[in-house]
Amino acid sequence: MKIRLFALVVAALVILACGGGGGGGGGGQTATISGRVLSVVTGGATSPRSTVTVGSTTITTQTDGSFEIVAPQGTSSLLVDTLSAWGTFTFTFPGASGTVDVGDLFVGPQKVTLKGKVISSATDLPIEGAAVSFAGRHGETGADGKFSLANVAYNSASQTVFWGIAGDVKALNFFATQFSAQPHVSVLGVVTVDDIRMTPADDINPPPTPFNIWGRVSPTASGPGSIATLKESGVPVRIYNVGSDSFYRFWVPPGSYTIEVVNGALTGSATATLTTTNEKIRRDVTLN
Amino acid sequence: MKSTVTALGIAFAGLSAAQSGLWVDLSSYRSPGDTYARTDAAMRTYAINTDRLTQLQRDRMKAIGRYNDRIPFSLPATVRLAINGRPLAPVRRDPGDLVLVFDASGTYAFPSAYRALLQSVFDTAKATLNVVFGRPASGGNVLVKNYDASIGDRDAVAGGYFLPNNGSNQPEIRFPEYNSPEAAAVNFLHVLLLAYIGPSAYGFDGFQEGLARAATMKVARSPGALPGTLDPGLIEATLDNTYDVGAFYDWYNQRALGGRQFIASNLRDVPLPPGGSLGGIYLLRFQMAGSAWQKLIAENPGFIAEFNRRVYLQPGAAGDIVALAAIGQAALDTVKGATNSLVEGLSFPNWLRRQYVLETKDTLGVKLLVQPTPITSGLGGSDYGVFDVSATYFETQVGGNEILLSGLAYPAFWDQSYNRVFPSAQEDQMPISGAYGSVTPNLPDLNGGVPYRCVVDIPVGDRVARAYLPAGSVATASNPTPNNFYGTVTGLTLTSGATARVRVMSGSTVLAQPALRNGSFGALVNNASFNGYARLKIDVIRTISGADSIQMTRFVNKGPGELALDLRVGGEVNYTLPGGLLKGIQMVGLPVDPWVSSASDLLGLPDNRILIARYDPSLVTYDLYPDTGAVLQGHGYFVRVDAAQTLVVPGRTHPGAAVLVALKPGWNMVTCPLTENVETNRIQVVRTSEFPATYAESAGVTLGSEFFEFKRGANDAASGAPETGTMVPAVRFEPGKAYFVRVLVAEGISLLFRPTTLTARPGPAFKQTGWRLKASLTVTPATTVAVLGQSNTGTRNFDRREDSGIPPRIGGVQMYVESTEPLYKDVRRVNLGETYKLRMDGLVKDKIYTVNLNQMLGTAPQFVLKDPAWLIYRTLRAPASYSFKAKSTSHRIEIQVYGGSQ
Repeated sequence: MKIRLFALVVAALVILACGGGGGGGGGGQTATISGRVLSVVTGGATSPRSTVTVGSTTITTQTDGSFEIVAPQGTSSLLVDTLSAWGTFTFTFPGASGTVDVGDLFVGPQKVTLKGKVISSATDLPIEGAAVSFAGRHGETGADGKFSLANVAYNSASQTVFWGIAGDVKALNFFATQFSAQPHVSVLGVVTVDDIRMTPADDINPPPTPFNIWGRVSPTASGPGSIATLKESGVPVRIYNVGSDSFYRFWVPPGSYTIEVVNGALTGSATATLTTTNEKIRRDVTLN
Repeated sequence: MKSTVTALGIAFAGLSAAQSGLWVDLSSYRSPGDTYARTDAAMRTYAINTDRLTQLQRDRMKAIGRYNDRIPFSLPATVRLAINGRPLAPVRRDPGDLVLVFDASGTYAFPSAYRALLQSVFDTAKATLNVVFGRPASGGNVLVKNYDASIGDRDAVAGGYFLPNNGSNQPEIRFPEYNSPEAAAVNFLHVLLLAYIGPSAYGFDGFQEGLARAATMKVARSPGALPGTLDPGLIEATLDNTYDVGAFYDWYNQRALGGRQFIASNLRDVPLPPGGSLGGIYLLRFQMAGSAWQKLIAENPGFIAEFNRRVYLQPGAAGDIVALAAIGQAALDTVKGATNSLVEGLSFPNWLRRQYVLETKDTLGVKLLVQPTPITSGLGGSDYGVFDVSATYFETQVGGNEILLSGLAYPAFWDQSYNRVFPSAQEDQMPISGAYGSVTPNLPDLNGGVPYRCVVDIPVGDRVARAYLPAGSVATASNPTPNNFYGTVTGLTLTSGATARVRVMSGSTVLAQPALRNGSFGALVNNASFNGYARLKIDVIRTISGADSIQMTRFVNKGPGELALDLRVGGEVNYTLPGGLLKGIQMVGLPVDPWVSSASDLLGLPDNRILIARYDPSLVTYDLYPDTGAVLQGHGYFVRVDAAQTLVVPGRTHPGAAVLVALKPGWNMVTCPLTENVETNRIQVVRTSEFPATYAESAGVTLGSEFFEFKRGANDAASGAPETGTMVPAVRFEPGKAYFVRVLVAEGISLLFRPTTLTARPGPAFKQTGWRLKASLTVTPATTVAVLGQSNTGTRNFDRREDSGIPPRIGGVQMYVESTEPLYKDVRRVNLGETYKLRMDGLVKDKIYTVNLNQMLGTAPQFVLKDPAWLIYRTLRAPASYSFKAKSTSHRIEIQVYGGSQ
């Protein structure tokens, strides 16, 4: 079974300018809203077929769960009635204009809150303002990178479909990414997913050559132009011309090393012992 | 009472290389009942976990008619005990026959009929067991206990286990009650063989489990080796379920299988989360290990017995792969009665290193495996080449733990000419969740009923797994009777009028010789010499004007049933890196897939001297060895060595085939995956499920407009070798070299490198307008370059189509244009006044440098060169040069052009 979550956020954001609330109309103009209503139990259409209501218009979904409904321009929510014990689900989205695909709207026997955190893969720092979508629900991260999506459809009996749903995350200056809730289950009505790591798209500070012993030479004014010498058992093995960033960098095999930095009459040193080839050690050096 | 179950590798590191299996720490020994409770608990966790970890694969196999779920799932195991961290020594007696000792009554007694069945299985099979597996390493009594009563979930815990020391200085088998006597017989044979190995256990699952499984299959299939009351059909079904994948061994023989331990401790010994992780490679590893050794005994039935005998005499060898390789050759020589004997046409060590599942070193990193299986039942309509294609995606971490990964793959299907085929929308994407994803393509009939070779590439992240599938050669709706001998050929060039066929022979008897059509072949072989255990000779024969010539020969051993092959003419090479590895730093890659995964084995250097780094654009940093994992075809690496050395890499290629390299968003280290130079007009860019684009179309859209190679800098005064260097733009991909390629789209892209033997697919090049000026700074031996210019479409901002960023800076001398980001090429709108700030980093203070400015395109206008550091202004026109003394490690000059000039 394949579950596809069609991204809608970008398209929807583009039309945000049309504004408006749930039933707002713009001089009689209309929008066409399409999507699918899917069961989080089976991954397919609901049985019986659900209905979708916008304002006073109600339609029944097709056998594959899909629907297309004409609504006033600016419509920003719709109601799905599963016509079963699962009850009704209200989905919100940016105000609709023209033709809008709201993607797959999941319904199911339970509702949970999906929580998580979006961070930069480069820095591990939280990303604020990332748009997160999952199972037809949308939200945005706060300053701490955290998000919370309420009323996400869930099936406590089996998470197979739930885990197969691909969530979307988009953030300015980062490559869009997807995530899955697997292997997490609901605890007291909350599913907390793993941290979602996003890759920076504006790679303006590329790293230098590989290194495993590095550090800053200070004071800042004395760093550039310094000569850093790496010694092993007193024997120089590398020499590095410290650049404008005041950092030295060496890539060497495991061993015990001394870093000696000279800039004119100023000198400084530090020691570092690498035990494995993938260890990285930072030793800042102060010149005196 | 809480049991402590831990991996040997963690708690008993001193013995970790010596013996495979589960370990149970009893903490403090109390009583046999206590021991039973703890070992049963460990086995229960193991069984529940393995049941769960293999569920998706079994469900998938069931759905396509290749798994009988009425037969209980089981993975018998060896369980070793320790007390307070000290392993209990296995009971070791003189070699000799085993004597099974059953409880006559009590908690651990079997019903009499069941006990009689087990005894009968042993009595009937013993002679064959001894012939196939050799006599037990340690003879005498082995207790056989019923543990069925202590286990709740029957389905999850089926399968017995063997204790080399049950805590009371007795070897012991604990075995459940199966409803199926056939399942009981097969699993009991397996556990008996673990008892045969007894105290002489191997250090690697590939050997311990593989040898036992191959022998289990062989014995179970030997006429008269099991009680006559058992149904041979159900015995074979039991073997088909969880033992034998020999039919598809060629297809599944992939690097991801390798490792010392088949199920990582973190997935095996502790309860998995509720709901569980349902995917994984785990059943396949066990199956492939047994099927690997099955190939060996198909040719040499006495091999395992001789191999075991020799290992029992050399206990230290059981955990030493070098010693095991030598023993394997000696055993082979003995059973064949000749020195330098071969298996499948190879010496034992050479054969061994081609079996990825028998690779005993753990390598870290992300791994991907593709597992295709033909679907041959229920065909109808337009079904032509229906396959189940599953993928397993996981990461091995330090300590051997494995993490099941999720992702989204866009499978790419290619016809024999590497045109992308789109079977249906359902196959456009393969969501991978909990390590597992699958699609079921019906490869379409493209040639009016003539089969073809269809290549399936599954790219995820920067990994690609490939399978060659014979579309139309297995079973189709119009020819539903499945062939039992089929596969593909790559690397064979057929000129006009030439034909080819694949001949399969047993001894001197030709069994079949199906025609090779578009790289695909298939035949139904009705011959006892093929259908059972067989040693086959496979020839690929080309015919030109009635004259045959053999293009390749392979010896293939097989077990009972069908056989799928991936034949590559000239596909095995000893690749020599041009110029070898130089002292100091360099950026290299391999156009071959090395047999070995370990960089230590590849470079011939100890682990603690290996400096390999690979940039990970997701983490925006370098992975350092061993985090870099296996050195893979198509991947680029920084390598730093203390002394120059030649590098010869035995491995396999995709001869005559286009090869896909997957790239992540951001900067990627890429190498040419072919053994020939590849210009960009022979590269196609594959994005998600779209029609492939040319490189020229993609540059500046999905790819950076330039790609870069690394030029080594001057020698480090201390090391005497370059430790830094400069990135310079490249124009082609050359084998052995690595390049930085930037991907601009979130979903990543893949590059399809096409060899010259395939028709090139050049696309329209982007038409450049305006002028370009090349600024260069040479610091021997490298030259760093930046380009500035103006065009009809450029802007002051970053234009993907025309501008180009620099790759990760390399610490040597580097020139670039300062803009919104450091640029290698900065093209702005023509006829506007602009100032370009050219910055040079990595300079040596007080040294004199010269910048050269030359026309690249069009006619650059007159410009003013400003040097703010020295307050110099000069009006110049290209070509021109400017020299300056560096005041610090960085220096900037400005190039100012006036508006309206052209």
